[in-house]
Amino acid sequence: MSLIEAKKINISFSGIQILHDVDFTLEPGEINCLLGENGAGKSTLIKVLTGINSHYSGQVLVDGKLVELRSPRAAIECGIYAVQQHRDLAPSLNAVENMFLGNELYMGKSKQKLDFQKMTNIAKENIARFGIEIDLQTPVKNLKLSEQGVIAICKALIANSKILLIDEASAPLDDSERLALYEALQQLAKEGKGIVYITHHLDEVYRIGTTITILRDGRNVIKVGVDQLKKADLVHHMTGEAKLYERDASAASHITDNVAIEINGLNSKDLEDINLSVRTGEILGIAGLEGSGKDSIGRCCFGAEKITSGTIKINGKPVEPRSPIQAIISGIGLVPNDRKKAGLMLCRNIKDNITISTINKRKKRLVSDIWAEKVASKYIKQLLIKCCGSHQLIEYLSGGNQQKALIARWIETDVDVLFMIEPTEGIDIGARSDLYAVFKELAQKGKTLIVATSDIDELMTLSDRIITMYQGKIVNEYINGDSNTTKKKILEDILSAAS
Amino acid sequence: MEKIKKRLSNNGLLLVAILMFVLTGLLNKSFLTSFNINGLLTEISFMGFLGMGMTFVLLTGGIDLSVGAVAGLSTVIIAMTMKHLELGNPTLTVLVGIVLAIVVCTALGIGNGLLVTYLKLPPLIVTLGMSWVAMGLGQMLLKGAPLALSIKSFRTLMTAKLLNVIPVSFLITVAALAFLSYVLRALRFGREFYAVGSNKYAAFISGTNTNAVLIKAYAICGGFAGIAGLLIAAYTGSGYPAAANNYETYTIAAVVMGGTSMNGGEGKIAQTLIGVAILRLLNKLVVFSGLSSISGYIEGIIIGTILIIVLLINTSKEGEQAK
Repeated sequence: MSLIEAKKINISFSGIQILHDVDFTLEPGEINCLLGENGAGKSTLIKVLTGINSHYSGQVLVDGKLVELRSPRAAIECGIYAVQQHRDLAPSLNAVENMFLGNELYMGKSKQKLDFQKMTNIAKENIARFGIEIDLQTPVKNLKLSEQGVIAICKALIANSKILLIDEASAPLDDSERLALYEALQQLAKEGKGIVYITHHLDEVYRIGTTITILRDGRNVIKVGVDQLKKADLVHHMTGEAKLYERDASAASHITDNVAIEINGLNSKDLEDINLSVRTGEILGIAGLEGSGKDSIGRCCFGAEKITSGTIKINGKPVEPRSPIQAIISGIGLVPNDRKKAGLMLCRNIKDNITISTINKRKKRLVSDIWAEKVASKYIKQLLIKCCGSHQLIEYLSGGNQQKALIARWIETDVDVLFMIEPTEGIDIGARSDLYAVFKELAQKGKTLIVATSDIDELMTLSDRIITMYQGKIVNEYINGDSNTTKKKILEDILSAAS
Repeated sequence: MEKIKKRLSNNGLLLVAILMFVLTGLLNKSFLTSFNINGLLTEISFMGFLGMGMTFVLLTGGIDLSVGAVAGLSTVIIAMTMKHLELGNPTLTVLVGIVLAIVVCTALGIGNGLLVTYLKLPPLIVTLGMSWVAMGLGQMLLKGAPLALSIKSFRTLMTAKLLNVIPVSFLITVAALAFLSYVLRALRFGREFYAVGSNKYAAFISGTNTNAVLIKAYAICGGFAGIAGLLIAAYTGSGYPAAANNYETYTIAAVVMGGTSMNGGEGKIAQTLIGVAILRLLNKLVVFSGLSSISGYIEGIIIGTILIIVLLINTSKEGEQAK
């Protein structure tokens, strides 16, 4: 008997149909990886199953019984529990309270008096599985993102429901925590529970997945066992055409001799004596764990973080960017990693979001809507942003398309040096490919890109040169294409495993 | 040393309150009479109820500007009941009046809650509108001049003093404080307010009925404003709609000074009560130290300044912790 059998699920938002007759099944002991491009409908389907998108039509059977998932409580009572990205922790409550939110343990029969002692003990046990220690008393907003990610996962494990839906929960974790997550999930699958796992990292799919369900444009494509589908075919099913950006080593010839940005002796709260030179047309990749300072270099150059000492030169001219505005004027840009908080204006439309940074550059006083429309349309076409037009509110775009719009904004600013922090986070394979091609084109046109990312595959696909960082210092420098440059070496550097 | 620091930061406000009391007494010995202290404690009682009710709403991230008008309405209801309800038995009349006042005020609170949750209107505007409605209702009922409370036994009971100093109303307030602190700390009913205020979405997807929690918060706030009104009526001996005029601004100041965050999800009832105490002590300090002779409005200037300083301290603390 299937744990979940969903038949002909349809749902629309504001008149636009998102899911078309989607079927979905989940068997006991299955780790079903739900894959699809951004906007394919994965999160929408998950939200139907968790009762958040309650206005769906179609049938859902849990354990063979027909159920109406019209509220989160209804879903929870059917044994369906979800872990979502970013949004499901209460910031001012502590770790214990968050883990038991909705699942509190009580003393006595009244179901009112909370048993904090018992909850704290269970919380400790669960965190121990991840091999880390977390301050259980402090509000979770004070904790690191990876710790918050662990808490969100423990919350789901504690719920011990028979069906677990995990939507990109591994993103904020670091490597050892991720391993613990895989172990925990595989343990649950062995116990006969069913897990739906959404991720953009295909290596995770092949590592822990038992089955793969692929959606495209809100429709079913295929459901198949993981060993029956090769990676290339998988991508084909997801994107409709096989396209994976391949690094063309010979194209490195567009790098000029001109030093676009030169950093000397840079020190800040998180950085120690950074010396760096990047030439025009070069793409530099920065690898490092959270806390290594890989984002700080960009933030310091962009005026978003305080520099305690050091100099920065753009095209030979010394600059002192004390604020983002000064940085842009000096020719430095930064695509931040938290697009919801630091990048997009969620209540505005695509047009406004793309043109906001370049409004000042226009000579004319009044902002022309025609101009904004032209600029936005250019990027919608170039970056293949899936939307209903540049007037659409950006909050309705899927994560990946929002990120494309954000990058479009920065490309439009035409800065000489563009820092990017986790630029393809949450973006699917197809869109990622598109973006890599765009980045390469920018470099060929004479821009300089510095990409800080935790995705080493991405670094190796994109960069001409890679530097590794650990605890605020540069550890090593690698030339891509060199036989010396291996994933293993890079990993060792950032984990400081080789000394 | 760390332990002492922690104790100080947790109880700092209490120390401030005690210091202010002592200071006022030192500056002017005539402050330390049973009449004055009784008055102080009575004021702390009814403002305390307003503050405790408001805390629930602020915990959920909302705000209630109608408490002053609702408390005023409550005084009108009890006065009118005493005058017009012919039951022959004064105790029964008083009881009916009390119940009626609390029920009506709670109903107005529920009204606020419904507008905020189901119609999704912003609490600031909803409660502002409700305050006019409550004021209007009071004026409609009263049709004229303030009405004296005709049943004396109510007044004498509420104003009876323990040890000749502590009024019954204060004892009621402290009892409510103890009970509510327990509820908010240890019972699910209480923790739900923190959860909804901290992240409504997270509470929602965890299965909490967030709408019900919000309505409860506004209902409690309304009900407590009603109780506050009863205490005010007992103290002043009369009912009129503007009895608690502008008290909502004092209440919000007190709750914020007590450390409750305007964003929701943080705060403690005990701290609110200390905030209320500090505001009343400030009033006494200004009056008894002679500062009020500089200008009748100096108290307002001082409260405003202190409030801003407290907000600065709170936000810098949050900024520190975020690192």
